Amino acid sequence: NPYTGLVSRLRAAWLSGKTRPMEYRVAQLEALGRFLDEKKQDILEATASDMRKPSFEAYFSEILLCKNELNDTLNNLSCWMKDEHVEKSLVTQLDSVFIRKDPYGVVLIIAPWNYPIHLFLVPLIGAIAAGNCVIVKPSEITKNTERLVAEVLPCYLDNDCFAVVTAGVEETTKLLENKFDYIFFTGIPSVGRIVMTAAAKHLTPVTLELGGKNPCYVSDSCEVQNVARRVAWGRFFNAGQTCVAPDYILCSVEMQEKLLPALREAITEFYGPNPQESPDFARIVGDKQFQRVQALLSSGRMAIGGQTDEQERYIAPTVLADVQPSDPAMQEEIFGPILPIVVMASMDEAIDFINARPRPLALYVFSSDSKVVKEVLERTSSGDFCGNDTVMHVTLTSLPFGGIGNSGLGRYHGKFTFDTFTHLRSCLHRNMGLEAINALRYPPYSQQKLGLLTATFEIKRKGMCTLL
Amino acid sequence: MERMKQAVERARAAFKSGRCRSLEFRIRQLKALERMVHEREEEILAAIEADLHKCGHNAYSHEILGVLGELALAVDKLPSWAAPQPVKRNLLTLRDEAYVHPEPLGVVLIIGAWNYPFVLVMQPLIGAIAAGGDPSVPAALGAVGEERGGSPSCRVCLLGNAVVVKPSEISEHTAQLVADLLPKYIDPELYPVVTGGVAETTELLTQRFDHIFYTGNSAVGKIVMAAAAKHLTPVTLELGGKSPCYIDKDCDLAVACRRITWGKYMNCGQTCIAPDYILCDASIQDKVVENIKTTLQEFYGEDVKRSPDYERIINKRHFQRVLALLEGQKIAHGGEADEASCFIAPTILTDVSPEAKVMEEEIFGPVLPIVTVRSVDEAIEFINRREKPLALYVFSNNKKLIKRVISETSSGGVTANDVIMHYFLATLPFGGVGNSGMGAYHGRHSFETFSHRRACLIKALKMEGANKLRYPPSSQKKVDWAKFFLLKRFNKGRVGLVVLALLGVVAAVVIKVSLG
Repeated sequence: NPYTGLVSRLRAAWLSGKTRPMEYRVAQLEALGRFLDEKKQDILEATASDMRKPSFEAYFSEILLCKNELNDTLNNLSCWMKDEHVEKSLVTQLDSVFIRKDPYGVVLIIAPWNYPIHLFLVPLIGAIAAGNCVIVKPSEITKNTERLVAEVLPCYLDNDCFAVVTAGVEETTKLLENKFDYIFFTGIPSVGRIVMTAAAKHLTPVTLELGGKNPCYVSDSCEVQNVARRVAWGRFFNAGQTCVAPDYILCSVEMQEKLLPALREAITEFYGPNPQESPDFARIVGDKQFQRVQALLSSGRMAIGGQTDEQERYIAPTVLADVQPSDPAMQEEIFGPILPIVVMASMDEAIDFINARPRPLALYVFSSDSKVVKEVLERTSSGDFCGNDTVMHVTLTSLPFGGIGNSGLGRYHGKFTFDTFTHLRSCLHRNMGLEAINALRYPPYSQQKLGLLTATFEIKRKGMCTLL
Repeated sequence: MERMKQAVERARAAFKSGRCRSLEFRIRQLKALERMVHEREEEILAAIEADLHKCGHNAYSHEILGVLGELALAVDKLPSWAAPQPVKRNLLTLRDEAYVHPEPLGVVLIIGAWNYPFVLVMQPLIGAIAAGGDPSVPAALGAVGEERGGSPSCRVCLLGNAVVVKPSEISEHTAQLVADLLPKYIDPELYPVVTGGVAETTELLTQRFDHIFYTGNSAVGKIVMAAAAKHLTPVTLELGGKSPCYIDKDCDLAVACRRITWGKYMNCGQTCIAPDYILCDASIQDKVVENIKTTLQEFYGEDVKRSPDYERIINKRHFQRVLALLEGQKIAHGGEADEASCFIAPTILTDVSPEAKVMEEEIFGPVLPIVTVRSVDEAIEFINRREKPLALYVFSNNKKLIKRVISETSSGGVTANDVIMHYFLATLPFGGVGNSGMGAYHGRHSFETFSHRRACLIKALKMEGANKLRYPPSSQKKVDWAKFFLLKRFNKGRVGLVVLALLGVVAAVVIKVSLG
């Protein structure tokens, strides 16, 4: 196995305890900060070459949000690392009871191509902060970014403990045969299954950030132009290649009629009359993906956009109206700049429609009536939820980000990333004295001992006399 | 086999049904379980005795006490656990609602183990039933005029889990009792019990669950996780391993050995967090043996076989497995066995070689090997060369040494200067790491294991001005505003929230004017 040597080397570094001290972790994290600052231009250029990522989008998602996570971590690391002392019971009053934050060891981060820096860097921040050694496998599909990361990142981080591996599908399969202490994967559900199956062989815990079709319900009472802007922004950012993008709209036939002109106006506001000429609109990442997304255009009726240019892998910001659940665009996660509208007779029908399908990563509801928002929230299930906007919930580092069911397991961002890569180890440090109290638990047993034991151990309902 | 599929399908239908599984409903189920434990105490103790030759007092303190404690805790704390938890907002979201909303996962599977057959099914079940949200609590803090009560049309309230319980067939009396009793006290469609062996469990694992909680050994743990992977089902695996116990030269040997004897030989050694083997300096090996022998006498009397407080090995297969570990070893005490009653006397082995068979697998029996090491460094190295254990024990008067052992090793949990006891604190998450498992439970950790914590951000449709800075077409001005609003600064000084809010409003207005 071509990677066994690398994994062993990192494991030896891990066992040496090098990554444990806080000063070490801070130094590595600060180096990541310098990487983002000094290589900002290279990152913008690489992502532009790979998928014509507009520089504002690249700055926002690949630099700004990453710096946020980095600063949040650096500001709070000493607090997160501390032993957490917890409430004691009667018998342990004189003991020390705490939760130790232990790193796992050697962890693997596999990143996808749509936000090629962000989606390895943010987990990496947490993994380093938690004291692990890390192997990063960036996506082979965004070649320029992959090269940048493989060549430049090792100049900033300690190569004893951190490594970047470039690998395609076959090599990644080989990589996964090795034993890791944690695997963090972002990608599609089918590959998520493969990763988890490989992890099961070594009993390796995993976080899987997957995807699905994120529904967006628009109720009849809402400010249509604001809705249109927020939905269009979320849908067409990165040419639709965002795991939390609103995938399709559910609304009444009247709302559809109101939304179409509003969406048209929003798109023109954003990208001008010919989006192909706008510097602010991205392209599809590769030919295979282009073909796939293009095929979804034959769904419903083309209301806005629909133009494509194979040479540039350009697909115009497109809105499809009157889409049927059986249409191609409703069979898979779109991951492209196409927004289907599926007409629903009522909110109940919309909720049933959502609940009949695999649970999505994100769920969006637009309504000026907060009761409507709350009701959809209560009656559905999804990784995360955002009312009256799209995507923005991922920018708040205090909210956990992750899926449920087919859309994933585990969560991260902010402290949750640190927690993901930390084993919470329960510790009880007892006194050697006071052995007399322990005698209650030793054989030979008797009814009297049991009575006393019950009194000292039992958690009683509040309101009853308790010394616990 | 159809039985398995049907039970799961009915549970899923019950989960999705129009029944409103409010907080009150779940608390009622938990209280019913409390009644069950009190009313049926005799039968429960009898079943455990039949399975493990465990006397009533022992069974009560090992299995019933813990369950009653967890039930009381859950009933008490459930409203606070199930309430939405607001989170810190940034400048851009100051006027929005941001919180984590606990929700159920769906249909969960609990596979129990045979060594503590009642508590290892009941404790996860308590967490699984308790898990979920509470719609009657207004999520927005300071929401004025919102009434407490169910949400408007609570036709399908996905608030609590459905749970399929599969007790271990090896502890057959307790398995049968659980299958008989649970349907009499809690909703039989939402919480079905399925019984069966390997074949039935394999069939069960082909069904789709939303979480699988398994207690057992690592080999089967891998099978469970592989089956779960097919459906992307999250798992909690409470496995095992060889929990090391290091005894420092500087410690009160009498006390240490008494505590170790208690933890090692309870349940005839069949405890996942029993001290599996001892590491100590050769110079104290004999004293350790002496002290343990003395304690054994105190605990079980002259004739251990006659003591009502000493259990038996669960079945012939395990009896033979444990006995085989004694082959070729130096038996310093014990070694007597009687196949007819699956009796193995409390046994101590000395000068055990690290390569011996007894040092390869988890013993799960009343056999205590002592491996000599020359220093704590050697002990740490020895421990780190092996799979991460479920528990780690260290005895010493030297606090620094204890801190060092904890810091330089890894394990599910640790008790220093005692054994087992970290299990009994509901505030500590109980679980393994590496080969000894993943995930944790007990107390609030059980609730969180079986809940999905859904992040929620609820904005107003107004205040569009502030949003404009993120929309195309882009400009340097917008980039600068974005940085101002979003970028956390490293070591930012504390700015009053009021000032920030004011700044936010002013900025939004300015942007609206300059870009609008």
